[in-house]
Amino acid sequence: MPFDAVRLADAAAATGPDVVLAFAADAANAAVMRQALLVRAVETSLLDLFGKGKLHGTIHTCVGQELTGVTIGANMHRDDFITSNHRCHGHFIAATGNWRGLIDEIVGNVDGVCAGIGSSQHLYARNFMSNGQQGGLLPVAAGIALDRKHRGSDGIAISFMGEGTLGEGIFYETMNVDSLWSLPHLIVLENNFYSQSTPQAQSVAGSIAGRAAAFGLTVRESSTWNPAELATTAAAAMRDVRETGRPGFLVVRTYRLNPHSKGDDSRDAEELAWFGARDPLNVVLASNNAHRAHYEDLLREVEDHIQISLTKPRLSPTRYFTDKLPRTGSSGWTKVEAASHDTRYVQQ
Amino acid sequence: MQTAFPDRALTTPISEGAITGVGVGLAVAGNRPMVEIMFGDFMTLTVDQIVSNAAKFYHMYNQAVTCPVVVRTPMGGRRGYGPTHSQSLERLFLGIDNCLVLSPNALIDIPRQLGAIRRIETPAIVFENKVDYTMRPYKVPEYYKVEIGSAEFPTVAVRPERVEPTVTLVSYGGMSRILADALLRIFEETDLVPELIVPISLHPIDLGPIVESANRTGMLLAIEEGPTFAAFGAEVLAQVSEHAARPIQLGRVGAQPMPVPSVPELEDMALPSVGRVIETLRGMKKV
Repeated sequence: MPFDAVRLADAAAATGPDVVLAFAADAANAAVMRQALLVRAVETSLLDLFGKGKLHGTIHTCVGQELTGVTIGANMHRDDFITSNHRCHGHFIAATGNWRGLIDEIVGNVDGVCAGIGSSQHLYARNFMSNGQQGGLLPVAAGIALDRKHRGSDGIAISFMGEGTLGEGIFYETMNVDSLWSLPHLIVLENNFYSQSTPQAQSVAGSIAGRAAAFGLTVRESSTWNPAELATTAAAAMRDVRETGRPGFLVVRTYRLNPHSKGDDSRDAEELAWFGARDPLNVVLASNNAHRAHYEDLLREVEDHIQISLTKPRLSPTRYFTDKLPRTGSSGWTKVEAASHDTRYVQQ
Repeated sequence: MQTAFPDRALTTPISEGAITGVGVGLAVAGNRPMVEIMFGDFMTLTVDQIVSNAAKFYHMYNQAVTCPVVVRTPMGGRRGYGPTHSQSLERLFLGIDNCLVLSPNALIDIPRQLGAIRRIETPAIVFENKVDYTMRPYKVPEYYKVEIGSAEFPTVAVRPERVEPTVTLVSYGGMSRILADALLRIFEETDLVPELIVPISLHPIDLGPIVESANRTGMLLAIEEGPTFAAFGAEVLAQVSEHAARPIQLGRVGAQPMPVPSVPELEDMALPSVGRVIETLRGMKKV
């Protein structure tokens, strides 16, 4: 097994299938499990559709990482706002539940959540926004957090980022502002150990948690391999930010079972198999009949919607090709006084 | 402002990207934020927030959200601040889809120029000129008058009152005041009667007043403080060529395409001057 996989294995080995199965069997966790399975059903169906040449553009799926998004989604309040990145499908479903609108968006029809304009990585809803840059929405989330603070709302901003974004300076600028201004902003870092195809050992120096701690954010760590601990930790992180009005940082170790996008995977096959066998949803689907039956129902439901989605019309060009820029074009002139103010002062 | 609005005028760290992004977030949440970047040279650090966020949201998210964030910043040289505090980088920000670019001037009072900014529904960058902060009131030259057009961000015209103009000068921001103060000298030294057209909206361009003037004079010179390559003047010339009713003699004056030096004599030579405008006009007349 290659070096990186061995190192990562420490994380997964700390828990075993019993921990995952106990979580899945507890009725109190049914909603989270069902939401995670829904995300997986949508993602695998989209990959399948892509393989058949039915999708235009690209997608970045979160197969293997589903529990992070749905755990956060389970603790959201009405005034919370999520910003996300290129790998946003799971986060979107967790925040909105609108998986049909997501499929329509990616298929590219007019019923998509953004009428098909943005597709996979540019989604918007009342409480959700994703964009394709690395870290570009982090300060935007800080601005939304500032809005919530000024309004005296209990809403918080939650940003998902990958550890690949640790290379972007805007992450550090944002944490500094978050902390200085005491903004209710929770940054959730999904650490899947690869930046597209670059292993973490070649892209991240020093400590990930230490970076946020240095700015005064409250740091918590968990992983998708222990769903119960993840649920407790994520709930505590969100509650803290909500109650103290201070920023937080939650690191979730996880593993992406599919390529970054589609064909760009150079990871070791043995490593992929190792993590595939320990993937929490795979473990549940292999041993929990009720969840497996539900998952099969979900796959059928998703497939039914895809068939409908493929027949829906595209957005009209007259709707798209308009803008809100102020109108130019002068008709007539008015004589006016020249500038009357004396603006002289000593500049720095 | 901080005294009057302590919770709304915020002291920020030196983080152009983050504070622009915070402005974007406030705008998305329904506020009308204004971001101030102390030197326009460092607008380069705001580009991702403007290009990939603020200017994209409205279309990308199917018109579900607007982002009326205003980013204001001073540009320009003539103060000896040297290469990284004297630039006019407007051309890097012109033509970003859905992003308004405004440049006020020291010819008329600011509320007349920028009053509509309270109503915008797109992001806007406001490029001011640091020399304009030091101006006395504008004294309109004898035989000239100042008019404004009817666009939301109106074009300003400084026109001869009694005779027909014979050359159209198009400029904006700090450079426009330098020219507006020198109209009589330009007339005396070129025998051309200049009419100065000063747009406040650089993107989109309020083309009507420019073409209307060029159609009358048949000669147009665009003058800007920054270099001319792929800049505002280039766009004006291209659009006038497309839309004028007759052939127009066209020219451009701008900065030398090199960093603005701190040495006073070299800074003067690097930036456009009234002397160079006169020289260029004389050359155009001979053709």
